[in-house]
Amino acid sequence: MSGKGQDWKREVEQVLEETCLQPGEVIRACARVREELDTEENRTRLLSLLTKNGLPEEEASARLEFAWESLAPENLSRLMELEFGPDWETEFSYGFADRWEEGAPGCFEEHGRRYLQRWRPLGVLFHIGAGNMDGISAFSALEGLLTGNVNLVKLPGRGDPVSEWLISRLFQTEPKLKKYLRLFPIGSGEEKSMRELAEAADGIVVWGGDEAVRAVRRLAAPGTKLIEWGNRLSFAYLPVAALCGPQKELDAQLELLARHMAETDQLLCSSCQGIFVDTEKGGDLLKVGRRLLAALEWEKDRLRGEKERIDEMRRQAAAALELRTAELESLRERKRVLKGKGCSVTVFGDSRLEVSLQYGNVWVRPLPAASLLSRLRPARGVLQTVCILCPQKADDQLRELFFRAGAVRITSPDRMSSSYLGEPHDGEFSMRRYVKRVSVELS
Amino acid sequence: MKRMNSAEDRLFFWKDPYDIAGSRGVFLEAVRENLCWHKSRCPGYRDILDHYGFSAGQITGEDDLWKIPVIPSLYFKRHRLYSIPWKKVRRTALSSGTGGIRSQVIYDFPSLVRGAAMVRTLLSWHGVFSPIPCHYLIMGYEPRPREKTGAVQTAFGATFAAPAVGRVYGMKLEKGEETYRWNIEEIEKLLFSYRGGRLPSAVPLRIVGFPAYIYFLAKELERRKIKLSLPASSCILMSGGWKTFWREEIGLEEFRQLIKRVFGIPESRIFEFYCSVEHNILYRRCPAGHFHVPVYSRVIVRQPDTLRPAADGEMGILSFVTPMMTGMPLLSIMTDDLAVMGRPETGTPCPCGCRTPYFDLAGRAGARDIVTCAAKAAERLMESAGAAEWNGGGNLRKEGRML
Repeated sequence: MSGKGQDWKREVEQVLEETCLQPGEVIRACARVREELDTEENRTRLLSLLTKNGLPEEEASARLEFAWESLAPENLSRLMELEFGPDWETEFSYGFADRWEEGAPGCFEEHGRRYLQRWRPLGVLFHIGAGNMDGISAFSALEGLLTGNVNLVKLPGRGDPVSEWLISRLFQTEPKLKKYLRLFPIGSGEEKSMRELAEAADGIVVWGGDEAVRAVRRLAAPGTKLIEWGNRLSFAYLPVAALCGPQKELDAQLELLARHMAETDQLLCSSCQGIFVDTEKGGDLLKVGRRLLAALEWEKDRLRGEKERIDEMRRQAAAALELRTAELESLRERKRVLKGKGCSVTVFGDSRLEVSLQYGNVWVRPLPAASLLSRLRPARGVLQTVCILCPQKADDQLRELFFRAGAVRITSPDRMSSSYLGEPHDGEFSMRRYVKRVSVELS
Repeated sequence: MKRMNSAEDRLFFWKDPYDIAGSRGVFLEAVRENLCWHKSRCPGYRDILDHYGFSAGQITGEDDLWKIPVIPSLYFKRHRLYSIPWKKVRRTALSSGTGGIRSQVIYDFPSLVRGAAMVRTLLSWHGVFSPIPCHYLIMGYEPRPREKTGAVQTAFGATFAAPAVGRVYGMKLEKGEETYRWNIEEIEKLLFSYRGGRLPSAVPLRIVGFPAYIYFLAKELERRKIKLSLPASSCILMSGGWKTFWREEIGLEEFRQLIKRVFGIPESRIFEFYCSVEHNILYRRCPAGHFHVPVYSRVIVRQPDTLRPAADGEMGILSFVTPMMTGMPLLSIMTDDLAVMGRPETGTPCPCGCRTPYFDLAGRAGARDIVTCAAKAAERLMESAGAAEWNGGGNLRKEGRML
């Protein structure tokens, strides 16, 4: 399975020379893996692997549920259809000359000449999974397989047992896939191996923080396509109309938001880090902060007892150190720390978008509508989800403004980290990035 | 001149470093003195005291010490609080950290004198001083001219506890350059002179540095089936470096056994100290594995949510009170270590015989941007040794190529 030595290069070229992988084959293999996932034993095993690295239990089972759902053949087919159109099977199938049909998708005629366009895999993809997200390597590779690519997968330094398990299942059900997926347990620091893998690839898929992305940019030759899934930030926005509207309505929204934050521990790219309030008044910010704190305390209390582990203590201590520091800083800076039981809200005077202290430690900041775009623009590359609180108070103009500022997703407070089938990922159809559009002139 | 006979000075020249009962009055007086000193000289600190409505008069007994507004070491990484003019600074020490978030601790002359007195008292109490010349193997960085990193200064300082025949550094400074390289040749040469079989060197060897480094060295020697026979007065002096993920991985007993097998050094000759740049008091780890509190400080383990003292035996944030420093208000600080408090007077006595309270380290706060010297250094060492990844459980994922 491991790809040490130089043999893999030759073998990869051989695969490119000889065979080709059809999406249907991969979908069938996934269906069989899904059946195995359905046993109690395997579920428990995957859940424990997921929670071992600090993922909250609810989030882990939600993610497993989502994985199970997405592996269903009808869902994978639907996904292919959404990304590549209803004729996706034809699109990826062999043959050009006899496939031209007047008016059919991908068929062109100009000045008496006929052309055929098709989706084809990029070729060889080098996947670099994020260290902090179990299973990501497997799913990244799966998308590469569905699009017919040969996938070289670097596992994160501390391993990714979830991915390894899923991939070994996949191999068992469809041995042909072994040729299309190779695991490389190497460290990011192993420059030489990393460079060799990068040189062999048509595209490099990188997940993770700025540091990982930057390292890959240095690694890639100019002709290699870079597919970056970097870290993103998400937040909630409270329009002034909602701020001044009925208190009950706002509280209900804050409760939903608090639940989302407590359940995801604010660890995901789509997790809410804080609330931007359409105001300049410190009093308004404090009011929102206090109400949010009350909702958070309630949610934290509801979830208490589920995580009685040393990790929890370490997190609490880290937050306590940051909060105490912020409290001392509030003597010289514009900020105010509101502490609750097991959670906190820090009210800032600036409009910076930043990661919160997570685990129920949230920020509240002013963001007057008039300066929304100019203050968010600097963060355009990292913006992901915006949750507009009391959405009935917002209009499409506001939504468009967020998209122009760099956001890619707008949701309600309880759906920030949920997704639906066919939803774009960070503003892209992800599998479209793993293919190329080829064109053949037919004689 | 005024401060020559201050309570602070008297405390740090106390004869018995574990005579807490006898020195209690002086300690409290020194704390009050130190608080007033900083309050009148450091406006930022005065603001903090005022904000929490705290003054020296509120310290009437040991039970009041936790109330002194506590400052996380993190705060010193982001802000400066100085109580002396720059011209009075005699030494600076930088904490570990990346990307400009190192804290700088400054010493005036009286603080240095107090620190030296404490080191002398503690080291001679534990028998670390020796008149016999020895070789030093420093598993850490060679100090640069005007070295400022606290951990490097400490390791260098430790090489004066016995006369040095020579010093070999694990990370050697390249001549005329700012870069370090893994000093494999000299380490091999030094260690091989102690190999069994031939006539081993009779000059004692003192290995100084981070526990993680020393562990790594011992592990590698064992892998290569090399056993050393070191002269009887050889020893290991280590501090600081357990504050990383290594702590969870290696048991104290496992470490001691390994050191005994590879170097032949018994556990009584392993000296482990806890200290940090922001709190430069030495805590010796006793044979039972506890860090006992000396007269110079008090230890408070705080509950994260309230910052009040946790009950003995309960985990919390390790924080300290010491009146040693007059350069900066480091009177009451909070580290990013987790610990558990134990008190022989009220609980079970410690088998080592020391009757002062103690703390046990229990890991680190999961703060994102606090990186200790040791964590960073361990990374760097392993990188330069060609083994970039640590797999936990005492095994390197890939074969290390250290020696």
